[in-house]
Amino acid sequence: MKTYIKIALRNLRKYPVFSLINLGGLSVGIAASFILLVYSERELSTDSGFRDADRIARIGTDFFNMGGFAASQPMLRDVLQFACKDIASATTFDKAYEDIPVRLSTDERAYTGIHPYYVDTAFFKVFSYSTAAGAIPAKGLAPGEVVLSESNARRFFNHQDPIGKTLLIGKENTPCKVIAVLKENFERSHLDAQLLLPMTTARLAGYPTVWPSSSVYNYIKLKPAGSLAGVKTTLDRLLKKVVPASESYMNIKFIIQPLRDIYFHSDLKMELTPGGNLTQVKLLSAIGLFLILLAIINYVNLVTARSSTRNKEIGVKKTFGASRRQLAGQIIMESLFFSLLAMLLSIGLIRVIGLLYHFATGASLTGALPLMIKHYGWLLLFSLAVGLLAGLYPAFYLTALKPILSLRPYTNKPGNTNLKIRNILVLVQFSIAAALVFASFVVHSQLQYINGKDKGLRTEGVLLIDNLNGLHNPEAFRRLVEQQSQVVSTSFCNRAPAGKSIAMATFRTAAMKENMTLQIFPVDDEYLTTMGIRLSGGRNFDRRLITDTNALILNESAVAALGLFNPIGTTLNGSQRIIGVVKDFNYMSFREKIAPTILRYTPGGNTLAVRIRGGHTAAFIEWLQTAGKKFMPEEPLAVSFLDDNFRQLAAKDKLLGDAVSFFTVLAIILSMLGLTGLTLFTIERRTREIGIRKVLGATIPDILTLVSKDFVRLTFLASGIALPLSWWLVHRWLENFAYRVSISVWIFFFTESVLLLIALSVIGVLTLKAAMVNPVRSLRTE
Amino acid sequence: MIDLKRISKWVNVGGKPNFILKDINLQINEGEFVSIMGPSGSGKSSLLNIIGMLDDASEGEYYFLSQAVHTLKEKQRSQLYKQYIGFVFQAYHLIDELTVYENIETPLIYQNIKGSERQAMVADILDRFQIVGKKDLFPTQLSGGQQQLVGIARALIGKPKLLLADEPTGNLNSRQGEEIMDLFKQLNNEGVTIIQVTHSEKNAGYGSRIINLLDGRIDNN
Repeated sequence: MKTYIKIALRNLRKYPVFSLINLGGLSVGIAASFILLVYSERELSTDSGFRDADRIARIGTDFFNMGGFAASQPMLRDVLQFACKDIASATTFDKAYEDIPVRLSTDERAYTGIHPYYVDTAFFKVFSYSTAAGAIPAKGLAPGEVVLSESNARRFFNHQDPIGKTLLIGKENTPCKVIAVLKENFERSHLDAQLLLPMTTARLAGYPTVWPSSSVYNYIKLKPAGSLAGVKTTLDRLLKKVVPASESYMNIKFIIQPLRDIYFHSDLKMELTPGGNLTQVKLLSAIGLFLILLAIINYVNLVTARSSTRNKEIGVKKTFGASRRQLAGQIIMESLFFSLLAMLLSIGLIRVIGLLYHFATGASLTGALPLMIKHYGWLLLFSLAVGLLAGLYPAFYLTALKPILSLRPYTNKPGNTNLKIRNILVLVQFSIAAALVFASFVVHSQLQYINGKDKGLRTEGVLLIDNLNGLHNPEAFRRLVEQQSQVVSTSFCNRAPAGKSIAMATFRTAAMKENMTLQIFPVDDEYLTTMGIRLSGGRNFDRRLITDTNALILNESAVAALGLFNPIGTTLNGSQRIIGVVKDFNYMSFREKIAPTILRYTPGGNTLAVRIRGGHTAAFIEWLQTAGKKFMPEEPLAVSFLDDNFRQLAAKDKLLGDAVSFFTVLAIILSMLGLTGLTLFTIERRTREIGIRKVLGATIPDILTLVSKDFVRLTFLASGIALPLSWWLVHRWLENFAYRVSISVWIFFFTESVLLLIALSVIGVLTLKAAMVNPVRSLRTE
Repeated sequence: MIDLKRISKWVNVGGKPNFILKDINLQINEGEFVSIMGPSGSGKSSLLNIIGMLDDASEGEYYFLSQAVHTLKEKQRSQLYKQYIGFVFQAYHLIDELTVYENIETPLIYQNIKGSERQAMVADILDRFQIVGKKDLFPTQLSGGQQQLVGIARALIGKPKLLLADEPTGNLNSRQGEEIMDLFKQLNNEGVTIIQVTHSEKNAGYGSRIINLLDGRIDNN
């Protein structure tokens, strides 16, 4: 044991370049795949942090066949609680749609970006949050009390103890006492509760109590013996009772979703937080596994590449009577030792790679993950498994030789017999590289496509201010903004593209028997100009025409959906006249097809959209905030940019694109390391041959061709294997998008050229060195 | 054919030059069969390598067929030896991955000779050395003598004017050795100039001239 480590250490020191390549490759592989696997595990374990998570479910609703809402009716809670024997507790809560200002004292500026949860007393019975400080009373939150998340507690109070401190919340500066701080765990949740306030009776009473509505979130926790099927039966029975037959045309339905399904599988509207993407998680964890496979292959290649030096040691030991098992044990011990060293390095590298990732993409994959002890345990196990895997083949291979053969200098080099296995290993590496390169090209071209695609509107240069509902004189504010030389146009609306609000209404033509539910945009007459939406027929709204108060503008999809041939002048719902048609414009993520949409003339919306000329944007925003203070002294204007909002919609896709390309680069580096090992091995095995060929008149280019020919063939073979597979995978990802690029043939060529470039650059440099050696040296017999 | 003038070769050991060859003056005419003899470390192989243009001299002038080799660039030199010189080694140095046929063919590939022509040339030499039956075997399947035969066939395939042999019989038994030396004699009679390095007086006897090397100098001529 001791000698094993001694020999391992001496080998490390004796071949510093080899060791560095090997150790570096292994630790980068361990670190990178660990990051990806932890990321995937975190995504997959979303919402599993709550106690009895599999007994928690959400009740959503649908009506008028609008496609389903995550939120449902406020009266549902009592119905569930008292009429359903399967349910242990039911809770109703709401998440503030607007930004609620939070202050420490009246003379301080407010913290923004906070969307409180208003939770009822049963909330903590369903969701078992643990606290970092303070305690949640058994009867839930009382009015005047507030619970914070750890990060918000830090944000407001730094390192002071927040418990018992008072926060002033909302425009009214309602004082609230902090009673508890929620612990932030490794497991994420689709609930993003940053600040929790009690759901007062008054607030609860304020929600509409009709069945075709969705305003609050209802979650239930089953009794240990309860089942969701039981809940469904009860709900169906109740539905018949509470909804009269005369209202059956509303098609009211309840949607029961187990908690753990929500993050990946819910496609309901009014979701609390954006959902996850399972394909993406699978892709990233596959990349993680690929990376570690690359690292293991590298290790195997590098160790066996050095075999001729090791052969002698092993041969000598064999002649002393060491058994094959002992020798194999030694080699496996060595690789275990090596992987442990690599693990120690990788602990640091995980941070370095995280920083690099942040530097390269501006995002963070795992962030400051609160890694737990168990993760380090996994890292250790993972590294040992890697070490074992990596050691097995060399142990088998190096000890297989008869001692006399391993001591003889030139006869029957082991490389010949095992060339096949090594070629397969390289083939695997090339295939992984090809698959990744291909995937990252496709993902990137899709993202590029999304960015460059005609959205039907001009996203750049549009500012949105969406907390204007408290403004005393919005028209005066608008006039002031319009006087600025930078401002091109302004528009009041109730819905912006890529925004969070949803509006839908039902329409029917004279010919239709049933209503059709369509997306609507309540906007004023400046909307088309400000957003850059193009009319394809008819005219824009005109505020001077009284008749336009009942006017509609349809997008082309709506025209098609309603089956109109001559839309201009037609009326919908009996009295609403269509005055114009616009080209389809995107307002949702590119994953979804542009829906049939109707713009309805509604002056005086809550959101002010401002189109400005380029340049000095920061100065303009500064001016805007100062001006806004006069009109709305309580809180700063909530300003966002339209193009940013669109980017937000594609954030998950961008994350995938960034992650794929970042780790593809890592994979390429790993493959290059592996190739270095293999080329060194090939050259070592062929030094004599290269010498002979030089004596026989081979030039350096001849030798380069000779050595790289096999590798070039392997790259083509690898492309042949990997590209169809990769194509299939990426194609499935692309199918998530309603608007997607076609995978062009060029990407295949491009991938192969990248492979060739990698292979030839590594092989070229190394072989050149070998080819320049004077053959006299390599042919010396003594 | 070969004219060596004041050829020296040294390597620096600890900053001091350590002479391998010193002041070698040597003329060899076309058609000669020269044997270089001397104890181990006397510089025989180094001299042969310099003559074969595989190695540079540290000092001195070397004229091969009236061309000043010491002024030529690497590429031109390789062009020259490719055309005029064949090498035979003690350890045969056949390429294990190639068959007998392919081994013999290799020099022709590097001389850019067309495929059909190559085929004819290799067939000729296989015939002449009576190893047609072995053409598809790999070197490891042959005896030492047969391997050396292939080595010589390979050296001769390009029809060189000069054959350089570094202890060609060193790894062979005496009967195989005799056969190789008889072959050399016959080749010499056909006009090929041969320079061989050898330890054996008997083998040296096949040649027309013996050069004795001692500590990097020519002992007697």
